[in-house]
Amino acid sequence: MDYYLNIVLLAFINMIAVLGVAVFTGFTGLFSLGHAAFIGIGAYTSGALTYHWNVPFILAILAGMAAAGLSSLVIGVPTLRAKLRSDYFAIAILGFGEALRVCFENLSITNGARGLSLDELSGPVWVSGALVICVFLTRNLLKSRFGTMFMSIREDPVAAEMAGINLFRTRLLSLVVSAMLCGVSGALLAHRLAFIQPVMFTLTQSTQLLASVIAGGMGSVSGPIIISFVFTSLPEALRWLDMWRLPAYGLLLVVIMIYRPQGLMGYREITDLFRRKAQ
Amino acid sequence: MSDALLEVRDLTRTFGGIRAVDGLSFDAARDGITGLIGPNGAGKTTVFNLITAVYKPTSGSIRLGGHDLAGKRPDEVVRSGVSRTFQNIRLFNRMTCLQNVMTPILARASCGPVSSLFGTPSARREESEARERAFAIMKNIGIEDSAHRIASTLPYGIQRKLEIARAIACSPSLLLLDEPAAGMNDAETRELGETIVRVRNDFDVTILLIEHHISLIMDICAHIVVMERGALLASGSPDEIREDPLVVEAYLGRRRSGGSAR
Ligand SMILES: Nc1ncnc2c1ncn2[C@@H]1O[C@H](COP(=O)(O)OP(=O)(O)OP(=O)(O)O)[C@@H](O)[C@H]1O
Ligand SMILES: [Mg+2]
Repeated sequence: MDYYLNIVLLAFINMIAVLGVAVFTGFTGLFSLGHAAFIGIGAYTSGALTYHWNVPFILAILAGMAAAGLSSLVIGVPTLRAKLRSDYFAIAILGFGEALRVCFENLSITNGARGLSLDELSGPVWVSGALVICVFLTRNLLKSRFGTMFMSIREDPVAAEMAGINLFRTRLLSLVVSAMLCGVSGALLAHRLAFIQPVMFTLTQSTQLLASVIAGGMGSVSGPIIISFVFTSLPEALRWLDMWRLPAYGLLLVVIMIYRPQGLMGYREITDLFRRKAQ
Repeated sequence: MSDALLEVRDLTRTFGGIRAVDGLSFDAARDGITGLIGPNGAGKTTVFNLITAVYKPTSGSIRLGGHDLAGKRPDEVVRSGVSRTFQNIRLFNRMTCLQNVMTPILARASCGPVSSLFGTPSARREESEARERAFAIMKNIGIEDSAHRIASTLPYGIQRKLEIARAIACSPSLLLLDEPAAGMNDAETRELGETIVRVRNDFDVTILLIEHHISLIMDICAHIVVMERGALLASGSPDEIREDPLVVEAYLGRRRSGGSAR
């Protein structure tokens, strides 16, 4: 039972990060291969606080969230100014992620490459509570004027600007929100695994987040969340496949992209399906 | 205060060696419909891009209601009262017609990210006000039946009107229309002309209209500005323009003799 519970909790934690990438990539239309860096910042900030200073867990989570949000400004402010060139950001965040890993490896507060051993604080209540709150707040934001502005930028930045939208500020907001969600995810992850190491927050993880959003459906909250659950639990469920596990995982992605190029949910929510049936 | 809402003076913009707009000066009278015509490549769309700050002028000035627009970002120009449509339709394709029209209204709304996160009553009130205003605009333009359809699935004519509706939702004092009747037949063009006149009356906007359908221009514009190779060729009332030998030679004439310009 514990084994399955652990998988479910890790999947929930991953969902929070996927939610962040869904805001940034799915709704605002900007690509990032570096959001694992924000998970790392959330993990290390909260981990250092509980490890060195015994800070209460809730404060550690909030600090991880804030640190991730603030650090996203460091890359976002200089790169998101380029109006129609979102590739500046994509490149900058890749470098940022690498630089950050080197920092984690060499600081004493992070215990370097050996990693930090932490208490296993992220129990079922914390994790599911955080997930519910994050989904609720993110959905509110995406249904608000900001969600509409995000989507209009994704659809056509030139026309969005001609609708009176400040591209820079709106994109920056989307980035900060997505980084904060990743920060929360990182804080929970650190205290779920009870151990963090710099190598955990790399390009592979960023790629998986992005793959979840694309396979789940850009412009959907529920699609990426469902897919991320499948992706996190699948490697465990497919353990009997042994070395064929990763190819199977890749195959699943390919199949989704062939049969549903718009992703599992496309630009809809799973709740829309039920609503349609009810009519 | 002069009765010109828009004053363009000595406007020049070069792209490499090309003088796309070359020392152009003209006015658009307040609450009027001014036509901007000229052969393909004359620089008409570039004038719109300069007014809306998509491009910076190489030299010259653009004033709106007496205020210089120099140095503003495009979204600031929109907020100071200019909005436009695009020669090649640019809608928010995967959003509904209603969402397209609501976007500029929501962009101006005031509630911040935190009250949006918690869905406060004031955030919801702003949202429903925006929805109402969007419906009023769509009704006026005659596209309210398509409100909940995805923009990319709409017929071409409705897409053109949707773009006008979205531009009006910016609450402009100056509305720039870039070939709104492109690809329409005569009957559709006439109907669009009526829509444009109604928009001018109902929303109190000044309109600057680029069109290749000369009959539409002659029907609804009080004043016409003719450009050729970036420069002003002539300007005046429809009758003056029709008689102007330079215009007949350079533009109207060429069209009549088989439209070889395109
Ligand atoms: N971004 C740009 N870079 C380089 N040249 C440009 C650019 N924009 C416009 N031009 C050039 O400026 C000139 C005027 O173009 P513009 O699009 O303003 O013409 P137009 O009058 O709108 O023509 P049409 O009736 O075909 O729409 C053309 O020669 C065009 O190639
Ligand atoms: Mg043009």
